[in-house]
Amino acid sequence: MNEVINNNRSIIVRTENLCKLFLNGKSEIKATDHVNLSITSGEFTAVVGPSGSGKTTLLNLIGGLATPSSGRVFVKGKDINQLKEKELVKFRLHNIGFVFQFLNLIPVLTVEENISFIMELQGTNKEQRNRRTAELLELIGMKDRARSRPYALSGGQKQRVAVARALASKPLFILADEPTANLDTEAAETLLNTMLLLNEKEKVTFLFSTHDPRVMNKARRLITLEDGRITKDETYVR
Amino acid sequence: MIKLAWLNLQRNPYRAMSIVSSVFIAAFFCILFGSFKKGVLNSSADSILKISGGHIEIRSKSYSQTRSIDDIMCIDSAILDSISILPHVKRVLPTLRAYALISHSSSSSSRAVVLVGIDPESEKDRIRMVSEMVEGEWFSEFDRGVIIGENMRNLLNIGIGDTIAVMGVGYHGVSAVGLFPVQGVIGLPVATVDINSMFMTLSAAQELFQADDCYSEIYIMSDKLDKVEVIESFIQSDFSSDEYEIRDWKLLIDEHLVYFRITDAIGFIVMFFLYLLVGSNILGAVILMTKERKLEFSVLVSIGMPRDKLSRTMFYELIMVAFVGLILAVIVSLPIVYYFSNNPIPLYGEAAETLKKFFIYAEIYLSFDLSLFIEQFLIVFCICLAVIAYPVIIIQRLKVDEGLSKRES
Ligand SMILES: Nc1ncnc2c1ncn2[C@@H]1O[C@H](COP(=O)(O)OP(=O)(O)OP(=O)(O)O)[C@@H](O)[C@H]1O
Ligand SMILES: [Mg+2]
Repeated sequence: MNEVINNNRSIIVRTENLCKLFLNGKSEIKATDHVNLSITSGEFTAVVGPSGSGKTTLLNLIGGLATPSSGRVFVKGKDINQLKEKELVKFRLHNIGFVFQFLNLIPVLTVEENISFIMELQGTNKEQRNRRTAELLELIGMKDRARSRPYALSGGQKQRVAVARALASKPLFILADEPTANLDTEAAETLLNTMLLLNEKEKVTFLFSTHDPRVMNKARRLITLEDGRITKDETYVR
Repeated sequence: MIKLAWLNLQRNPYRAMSIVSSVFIAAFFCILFGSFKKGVLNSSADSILKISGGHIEIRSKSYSQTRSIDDIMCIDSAILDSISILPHVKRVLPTLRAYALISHSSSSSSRAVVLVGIDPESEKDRIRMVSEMVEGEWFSEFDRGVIIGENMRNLLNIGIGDTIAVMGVGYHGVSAVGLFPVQGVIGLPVATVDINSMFMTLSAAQELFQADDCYSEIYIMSDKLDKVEVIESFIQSDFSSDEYEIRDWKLLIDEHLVYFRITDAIGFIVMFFLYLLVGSNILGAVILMTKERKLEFSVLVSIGMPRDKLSRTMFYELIMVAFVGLILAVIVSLPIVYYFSNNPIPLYGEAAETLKKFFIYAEIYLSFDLSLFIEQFLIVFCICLAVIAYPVIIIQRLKVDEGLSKRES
């Protein structure tokens, strides 16, 4: 079922002439315009481009949070827009991890409860949840804050917990729309390092968008969008 | 998911506050108004009882059918005395009521009225409780004058000191004719009674109709509504059911049912608008909360929380919030209602005067009734249930990409 390219890495996401139109008054905005791209497992890829270029729209389409005007999104070879809404939610739960720019965490739950929550939705038993939560907290270096509530954390800590939460469900890949936009340089760097560490150690696939040149520099692949079209797609060996 | 709902409340009580307070206000005012509405009805019932006699009415069976003075009952005064000393009997009020024609020199026509002979001492408090002397003096024991209603005075255009000629038929066919000076004018709260009734002392009436020791009705007032049945059972031996008809307040009130229906209908309409008002208040608070949490909902659905599950969580959460508000309202309103069920609501100034003119009651007590609390509790709870549909619908229809975007917030 999985599509295979060279060096035996499977393609986990593929888009086909992906278009999303928005009506802005009378004019039509092509937020994404015939986007064709593939993401293979293990990638650490950034989507970059000026404001309004369609980064968020693209990530939302890939994550099944929005429906395309035309074109298709395949995840694991499956056209996700063929799924019914309920199936799609379930598909997201089991296959896609999300990190958002703000309010990622459920405010009333503690750090460990937030991480555990998504596994609870998946129906994982308590013992396994606790084990994985502890593991993830260790990985992001926040074991000591397990019982804290989100409001007591710094922006950077919150985003790291969000990454751990996204990872907890063992997704195929993680989508992160501007995960560092609300962070200062140092926190952004720590977050990126955490993500890189997870990418290297746990082979987690990341697809994230960013404005920040320092964040871009860490990416192994840069997809540049302009007016909804891919204008550059470069891979780096770092 | 109940756990998450509970945590939402327990760990973030401030967020729930606006909904709690709107539910509280709703339940509080609904309970208060419900008690008021019921209290008005009860107070009216009380006033009607006071104006019409008492909690128990005794008549001879034939009189209740014919209303003829020939069928009134004649009873040894010792029996009346023995009733008056029964426990929980506050007062025994013998009455002699008969139709008569009256005329006055200022008008050429004569007019049919109900002549009511009453015991001046015992009736003094009863009638004065629901009405006021407009002019003149209340009876003293041997007075031979009459007291008329305000409306009748205006109709006949007569005043204190004027003499009224009364013509009627007395007991067993004797003629009952006499001249009586008007000694007082009274404002009675029931317009029909006010315009048709003329009062005189019981002894004057018995003399006029030549019916010593005879009464058309005997009323018994109790100091407690729920002891009426006990009194009833006591007097059954003196007044056999073959000869006498004993009716208690529940039956008596039936005659005024139209009045109650109207009062009830007005109360119902006011209640309806009250529900509408408090319902939209709760809805407003819930809409606000839903708006505030749209981003949170979007995140939850995005990461894979099924909408049904999220809806259920919100449902549980709001049910709990509603319960907190409802229980608080009951706790707070309980002593208030209790207090005003024992102390009348003070009415001051012009408003009070107007109220007294238009309504039958002079004093309003709130009704302290457990079933009323339960009723209002359930109604407001149902309103809450209806309101909870809003976030549930929003969650089902939520477009997560819009919910997540900065554009919205
Ligand atoms: N819901 C919407 N309604 C109308 N227009 C929209 C909507 N969402 C996005 N757009 C338009 O689509 C285009 C792409 O928006 P998008 O949010 O994807 O850009 P972006 O690259 O994420 O920008 P930024 O860097 O500011 O986050 C923009 O021109 C935007 O105005
Ligand atoms: Mg964006």
